[in-house]
Amino acid sequence: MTGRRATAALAAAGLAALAGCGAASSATSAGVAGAGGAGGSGAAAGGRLPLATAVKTGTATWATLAVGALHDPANTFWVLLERAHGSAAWVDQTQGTDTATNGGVLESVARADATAGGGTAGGATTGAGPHLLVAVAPSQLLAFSPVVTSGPVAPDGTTSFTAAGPAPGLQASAAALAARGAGAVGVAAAGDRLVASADVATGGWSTLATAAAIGNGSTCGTPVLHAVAVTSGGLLAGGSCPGRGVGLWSSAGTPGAAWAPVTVALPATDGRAADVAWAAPDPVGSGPGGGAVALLVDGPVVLAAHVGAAGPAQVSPPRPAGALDAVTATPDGGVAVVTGPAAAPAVARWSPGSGRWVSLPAPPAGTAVVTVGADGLVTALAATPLGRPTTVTAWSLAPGASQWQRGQVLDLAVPFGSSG
Amino acid sequence: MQMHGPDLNAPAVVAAFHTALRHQVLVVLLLLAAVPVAWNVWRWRSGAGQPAAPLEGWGEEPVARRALRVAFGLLWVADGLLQLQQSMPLGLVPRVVEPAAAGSPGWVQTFVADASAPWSRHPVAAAAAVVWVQLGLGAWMLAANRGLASRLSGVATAGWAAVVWAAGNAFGGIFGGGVSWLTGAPGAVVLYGVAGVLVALPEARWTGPRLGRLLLRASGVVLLGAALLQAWPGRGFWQGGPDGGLSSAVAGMASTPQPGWLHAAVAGFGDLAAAHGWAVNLGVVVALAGAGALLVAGSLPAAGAPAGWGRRLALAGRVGMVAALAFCAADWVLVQDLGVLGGLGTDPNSMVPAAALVAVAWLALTRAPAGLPAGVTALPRAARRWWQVPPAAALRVTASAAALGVMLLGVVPLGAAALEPHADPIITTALDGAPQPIDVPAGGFTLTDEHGRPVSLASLRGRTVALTFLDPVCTSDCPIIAREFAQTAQLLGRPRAAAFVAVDINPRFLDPAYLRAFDHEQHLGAVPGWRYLTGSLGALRAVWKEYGAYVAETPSGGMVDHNDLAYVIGPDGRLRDELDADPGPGTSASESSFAVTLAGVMRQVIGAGGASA
Repeated sequence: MTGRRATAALAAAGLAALAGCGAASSATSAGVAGAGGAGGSGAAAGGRLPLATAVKTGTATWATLAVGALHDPANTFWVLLERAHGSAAWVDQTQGTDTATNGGVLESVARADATAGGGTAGGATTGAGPHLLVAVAPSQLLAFSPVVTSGPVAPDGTTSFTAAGPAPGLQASAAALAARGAGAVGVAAAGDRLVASADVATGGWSTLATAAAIGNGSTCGTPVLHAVAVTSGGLLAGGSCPGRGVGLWSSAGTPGAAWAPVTVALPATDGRAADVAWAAPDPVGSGPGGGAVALLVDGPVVLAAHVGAAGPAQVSPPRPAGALDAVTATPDGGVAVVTGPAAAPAVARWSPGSGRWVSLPAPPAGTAVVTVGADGLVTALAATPLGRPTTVTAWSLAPGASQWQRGQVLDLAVPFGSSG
Repeated sequence: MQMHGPDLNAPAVVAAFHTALRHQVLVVLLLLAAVPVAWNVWRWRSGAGQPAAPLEGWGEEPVARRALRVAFGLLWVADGLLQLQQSMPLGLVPRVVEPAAAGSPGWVQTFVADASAPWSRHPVAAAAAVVWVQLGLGAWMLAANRGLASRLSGVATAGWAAVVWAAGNAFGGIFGGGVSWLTGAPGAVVLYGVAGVLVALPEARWTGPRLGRLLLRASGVVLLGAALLQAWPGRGFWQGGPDGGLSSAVAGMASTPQPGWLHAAVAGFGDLAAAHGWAVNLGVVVALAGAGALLVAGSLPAAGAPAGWGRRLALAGRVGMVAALAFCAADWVLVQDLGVLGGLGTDPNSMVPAAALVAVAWLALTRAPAGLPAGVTALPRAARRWWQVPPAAALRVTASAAALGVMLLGVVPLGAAALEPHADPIITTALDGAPQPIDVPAGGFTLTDEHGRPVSLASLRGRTVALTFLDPVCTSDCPIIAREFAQTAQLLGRPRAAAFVAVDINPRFLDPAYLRAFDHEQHLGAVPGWRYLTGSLGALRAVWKEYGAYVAETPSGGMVDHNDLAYVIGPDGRLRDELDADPGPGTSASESSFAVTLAGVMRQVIGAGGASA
């Protein structure tokens, strides 16, 4: 409502600029990847999932979730929390990334037999059980993904992190990183290829397969990849299809290996495409012949699919997606999902072989991610909305209980206004 | 490491702005002093003192045209004076231009960004230039009442308005969503442009009621269109509450710094629109449509109408005009908040020029000189030679020439600024202060570059070294600083005399692979003399301490917090200058400004080193 004449100066100057002088490049490009979190961009947003998820290593449970001002990408910070096995206390381990986490934190469990490298700055460490592989998704002017690996977690929650080699920019998607032996596989930020490293300690990532090659010959067309999971049989890759069908493929995972569509019979898809937004190894069947579990988004509903070593996938009934905020693999080979809105979230579980989703008692407002223990104890981590100070509260739900029990309140020192 | 812009009232910029204006005022005074001299010379040349017979074609200017010319001339003068506000140099682009384009499609935003780049690069020169362009335009319109000079002032007004509307006003936001006549769409400057076109018309067009009818009808149609836009479903204007189209716009205006009485009035109307959004919008739609319909009715010719309709149509036009003026006045206060407040107001917004045009339309209809006889298409031209005009006309022409000179006083430096691709160092001064000269031995170090080769400061002896500290996984400041160093190297153009050295400042990512990834990301491989150094954490900590680099790991959010520093080390190994390297908003202008500043310092040091050698 104000400026005009003054802008005139621009105008004349602008015309002169257009007439012959240099072009002005725009300043800081943002490109912060889809921070959904409690904001709930979720499933409806073209298959892009928020990153909130949780995994288990040999010594701890790890969770990533978004905190801060979720409407503002520059002030949305992803945190990495950890709870040692046998402990009730969560510890903020975000500092271990030493990178601004506005783009998102990707986590994956390296297998017990993997050797975690230490980079040149630290000595090599061998895992005392599975350790955590962590990458940070690009944001703002950072175009590649820094990678660190965790050491064993002590009973008091302390651990250390070691830098691994840098990875190409990885997509800000919950399952964009998968540890594979001493190496890893990731979905490139553009979503048009899988990249792989034989040894994360030294980096040396190269293209394993392009999206065009993966989708070649299928009704899907060339997908936009979101997820990759390591199975005992090789790799599983998932994405969004421009054509029809379910964007899920399997492969031996070696360079040049063929990719084959995974047969997933969806109920009442009407020939539409279903996006595969997340995938993870099946904890139950992680041995020989083991498979994976994937989360599918079909318009307004989500479905889970358990992919075994052979035969068609088992598929859950559809469940309204709403604002899909988080997904976690459960110990029985199924999934637990958190759906929004943030003020009144819902949590549901599905187990392979089950004909229905089981809704848990309504979790506390702000619940951003859940973890499910082998004993059936469910933990919800709820972040304060627009929190200043920012806190994350741990709530637990015992098997068969009808009410969530409030636990630890974790104060987070989020550096609002900073951008690394 | 927070991305921020400079203080809009940075003392260095304000002082430079005022200095530039003072210098230009001297030129303006000279121009004004030349007017009476030129006028007297002219009178002498034309044989002044002889009684001048009335000249054909130099009669009275039509009332409507005079009103239009004076109104918009005064508006230009007012706009020029508003450009004197001290926040203009640094505030106009980020606070006025960019927000105006924010809701528009990408191509509009790109166009506006390109067009505003010269101002961003040279804020002082551009801001001062616009003062004189607009004062000159206003003075020109006021001084030149007849003839070619007057019509050219209209052409200049229309041209300048078109440029401003496109480049500075993002086409009035018409390519974005949610525009409303009430809040200023399609841009006040469009109305300035219309006024310029009207002033540029041949004077014969102002005789007879035809132009008046056309203008009145056009005014009515515009108001009817505004009513339709306001009533169109799904545009948010029927919605109350804080997110309603009207209430949110008014709330934004109410947040502008302003006198208490005005804030109370604007906020009160905003509350009313929020509480009764539907009813308020209904009232607005009815008022706009009613005034528009009456103006259209008033523009209809009485000839051929049934007996008595002539008076009724005239009455309808009169009521419509009064209603339109009343509406404009109310909107100007309650919605547009007078348009000039907040320190960056550049004009009184659209309702003042809109009201002026409606009034001019009415005058053109009711006070027009008699039309030309049948078969005559133009007023007779003056019979004498051009210098044989009456003294009053000569004075006006002379004054018009002076006004044109004032305008050129702005246009010329504006053009020069647009052609200079490198930004003014004053932007860096505003952001970071001036470079601080020092003269102490630089602390030595031996580290490893991104290719694993050892590099010591001593090995760079004989070169002028620009040194900084960068985090290879930094998401904002460090990549910008690296780009600034690359630009500096380009500006310096003496690769053998200079080296550009960055030291890793992230305590975890020390592997040269990270430095190479950063180099690749920022295209630093081709920068002459570029070296990115790392080493053991102990060795790095020693360098950080030696050069006052602050490093802290932040617990949540993950980033490494550090200060932004740059040093210039002379060929003799002595520290010569320290610069705050905070890149601020990281715009192309601020990057270029820092590069120009650093290159200037390095040139001085290179020159001094060469002399001593």
